Amino acid sequence: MNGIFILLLIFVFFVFIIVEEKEYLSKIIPLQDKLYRFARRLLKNEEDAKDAVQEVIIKLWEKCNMIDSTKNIEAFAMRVTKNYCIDKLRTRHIQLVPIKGIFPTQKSLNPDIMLEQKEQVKIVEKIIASLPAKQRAILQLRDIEGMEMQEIAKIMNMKPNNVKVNLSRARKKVKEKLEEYENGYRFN
Amino acid sequence: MDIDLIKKLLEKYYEGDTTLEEEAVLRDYFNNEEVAQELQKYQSQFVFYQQEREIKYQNYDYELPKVSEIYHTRRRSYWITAAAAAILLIISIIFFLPKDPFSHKQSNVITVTDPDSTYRITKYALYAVSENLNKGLGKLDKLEYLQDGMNALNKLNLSKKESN
Repeated sequence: MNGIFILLLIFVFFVFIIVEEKEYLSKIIPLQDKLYRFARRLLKNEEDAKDAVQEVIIKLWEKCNMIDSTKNIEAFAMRVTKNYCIDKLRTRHIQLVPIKGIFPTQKSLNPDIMLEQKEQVKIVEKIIASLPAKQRAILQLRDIEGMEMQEIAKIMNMKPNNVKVNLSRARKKVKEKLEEYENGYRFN
Repeated sequence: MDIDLIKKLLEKYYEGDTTLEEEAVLRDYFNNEEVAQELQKYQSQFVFYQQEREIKYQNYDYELPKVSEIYHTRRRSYWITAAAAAILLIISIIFFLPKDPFSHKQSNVITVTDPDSTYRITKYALYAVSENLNKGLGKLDKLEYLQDGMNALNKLNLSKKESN
């Protein structure tokens, strides 16, 4: 009788694992876009960003049994992405990747926007690419992904106040550089 | 849209003090409305942020199948183990369950009519029962060890509390 009971338990356990993993995957896949945008901002390169997302999803998949599924998977996934990208940036010796021409031209631009503005939007992209990695990451998480300060602090492993300072610094830098550009100074 | 409000929000924005709702107001203003001349220099960044939000990973062809590939291989291996467990379950049911649960009870019944031998047999049976009961109770003496252990643990807890 005992043997049967134990076997039944094992069976239920496996069924539980299957259901659990399916559920877990359904939580990761919708995050792909966010992870991709984040990796793209940090690595400044589309190919590398795609690889990064692949790697991160596989990493999350391997760790999937260890993570408590009730915790915030999104913040966890973003943190894994951040760590991966920072490592990648460190190993990539040449930090001075030419900014010019890294990104393809945006296809989905509103036709109403004037040519000058189109150019200016590209300039913003270049300015952000020239920021330090930490500020770039925070700016991305706040202004593009629209995350709460607490969440960003968790992802970046920083104090919320520190996040705020860095965010303000990054935003001001963007404004300053835009003004410089406006006044005739051009980036290469 | 009130330009003064936008100006105030922009000021807060550059200090990093805006809430998400206020930032949404700014984004909405610079993307969807006629922007005042004096504010146009701020427009391009908000337009850029809006564009960036719409970038999707799925636009690139080969990623998704890769993920589902891992998913399928992992899932298949679990199904195999689950199926094996089910088969073991069925086999164990066939082997371990007694074929007729009531058959062996019948053979142990003795009918006695003589009062003398009834008394003897009953006495004997009760002795046997009590002997077995005592054997079982003897094992319970070992519980004292458990009590000792628990006492020691309690002391440990107490000393922990004191040290705290």
